[in-house]
Amino acid sequence: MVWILVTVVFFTVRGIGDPIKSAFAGHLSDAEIAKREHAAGLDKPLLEQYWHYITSVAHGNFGKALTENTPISHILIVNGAATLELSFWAVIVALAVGIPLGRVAARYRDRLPDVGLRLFAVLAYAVPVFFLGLLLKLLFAIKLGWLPANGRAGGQIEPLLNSVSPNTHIYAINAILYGDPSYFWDVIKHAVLPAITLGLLVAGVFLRLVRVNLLQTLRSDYVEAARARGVHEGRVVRKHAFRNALIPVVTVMGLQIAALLGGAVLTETTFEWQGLGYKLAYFLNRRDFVAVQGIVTAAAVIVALISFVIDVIAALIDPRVRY
Amino acid sequence: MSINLPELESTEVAVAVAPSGRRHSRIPGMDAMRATSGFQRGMLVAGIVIVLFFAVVAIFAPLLAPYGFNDASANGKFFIRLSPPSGQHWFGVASGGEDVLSQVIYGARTALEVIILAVVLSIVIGVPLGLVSGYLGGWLDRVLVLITDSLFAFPSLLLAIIVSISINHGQNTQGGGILSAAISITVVYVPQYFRVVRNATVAAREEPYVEAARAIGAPPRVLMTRYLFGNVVQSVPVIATLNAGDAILTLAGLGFLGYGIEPSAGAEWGYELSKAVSDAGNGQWWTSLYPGLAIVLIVVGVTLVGESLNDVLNPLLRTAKVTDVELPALEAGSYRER
Repeated sequence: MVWILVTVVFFTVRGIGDPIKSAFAGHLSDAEIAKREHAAGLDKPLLEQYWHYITSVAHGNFGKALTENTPISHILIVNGAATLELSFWAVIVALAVGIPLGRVAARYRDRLPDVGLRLFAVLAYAVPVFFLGLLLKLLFAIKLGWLPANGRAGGQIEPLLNSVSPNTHIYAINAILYGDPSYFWDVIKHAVLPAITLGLLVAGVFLRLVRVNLLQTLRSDYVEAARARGVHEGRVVRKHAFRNALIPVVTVMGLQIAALLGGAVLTETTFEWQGLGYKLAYFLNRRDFVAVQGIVTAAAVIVALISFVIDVIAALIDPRVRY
Repeated sequence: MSINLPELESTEVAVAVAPSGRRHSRIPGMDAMRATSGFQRGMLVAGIVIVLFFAVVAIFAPLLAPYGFNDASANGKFFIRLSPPSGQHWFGVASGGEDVLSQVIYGARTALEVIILAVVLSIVIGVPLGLVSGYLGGWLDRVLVLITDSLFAFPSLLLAIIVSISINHGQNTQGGGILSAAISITVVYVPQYFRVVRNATVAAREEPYVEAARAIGAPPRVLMTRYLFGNVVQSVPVIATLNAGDAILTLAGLGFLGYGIEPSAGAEWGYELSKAVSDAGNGQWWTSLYPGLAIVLIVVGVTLVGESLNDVLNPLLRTAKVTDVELPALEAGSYRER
């Protein structure tokens, strides 16, 4: 499956044009452009390039960005860490919002809280991430000035955080390693708005999932039995149904990772968060298809890996699923 | 034999008619409306009203909009850039000097055009593909399923962006026309139609009525078009509405990143929002608020329609789609938890 993705990416991405020509046409002589294309291996037949790419990716080598002299693997680590950090906070937000609210909605089915929450879920789905991001920025960063609008850390703090050794590229961890609580606080403050923006994208899905699964579980025989024993309804939900209702949620969480990564591109652009999505938009604008295909392939591999891990977790939680 | 005959007849009728036998009313959507109640009906009606509102706005955009979407002046007088909402400009003026209200109104037209085109294209490609793949099976089916499976693992926006750039041959223009935007979106949604239709076909392939037709000697083409098509196509309207909302968001995302519609070719909400990012930094809220609200409203409308249709028309889909709301059959049934 990963191989198919790599192949599809390779051949589609070729269509975005020649980065060397588009970057240097007019600035350099034709001979010089040809020389650079030769150096990058672009003058070889497409199938040969493809074979070369496949074999090097299999060895974990994604090549070098054409427009700047950085190895793709370096970009994947540095900016990937930023995306990882953002996604982590976003998943926390999504879980913190989605699961309790889904529980409330199921508990008060078809009554006012449920109706309200279902409308909220539809709304959370309908708001484009960048619009929500802009609104949050307008309100909390510009009007009220409570939170920073852009970036991952304050201007002076960022280089200090990057000087930490070992550099994890995850600023929250770097800040802890640096040992200054105010830096950690600064990093968290920068993460709040992007995390909410990206988190709400998935929170609505979680809410509906928890609600539906909880409702289904509440219909099952063992819950009925608990009710018949005279267990209070609130306790039925809390102790009997809730855990089992979460199993399908775990599975769908894996599927949501792809949506999260797509949303990360928009969120990172809105908040100038230097993650993979931000970098991807940057390289797309420069038609650097080597960098684009590296990042996109990595994203696809990550999604595939995560859904595999999620399958394993689901099997661990639910003894009925066995492989 | 004589005892067996009515029984056989009844099962055949049940299988063959039940899936297509839902349509009772001549007015499309009337049954759906009738099958709803309470909150559900409210959702459906609200959704339809919103969608109709946007359709009207889109169709009559030239009449409704006070200015053109690209006009920065009227009667030889230039609009004051980034001036806040006023009597002359209800939604304010954008950074390029365009009237935001006019942009928002024309944006409805662009959105509608792209969405209709994209949905039609996806159905035209996805449904036959799914039908053939599901019916014939074999290596073709396996390859197609594998490809669509991998595409599912792919962030859809990225896919749309890459296709969009490929179509425009990597030129440094800001995006392209309506058609290229629609095609970029189509690529994302074809796999969904394909999958649903294919699975329905695989399930229906072994049904007795198909078996019977095959036994009579109907060729595969007739089997697919006459017997299978009608039964597998039922879930398509629901996916189409659910996808339409998603497609609007994808279009806006494309526009926001600068790969959507060329600004001179049409007003596009996502692109307007991308230009509004810098305005927001200066506290100019009107250039981002109104196009954004338009997106939210139309997506809410389409989603509400899709959700309610999904509940009403498609009890089969619900087991496969986990994100859905509850079963109406159980709601109406004897058991109710409180």
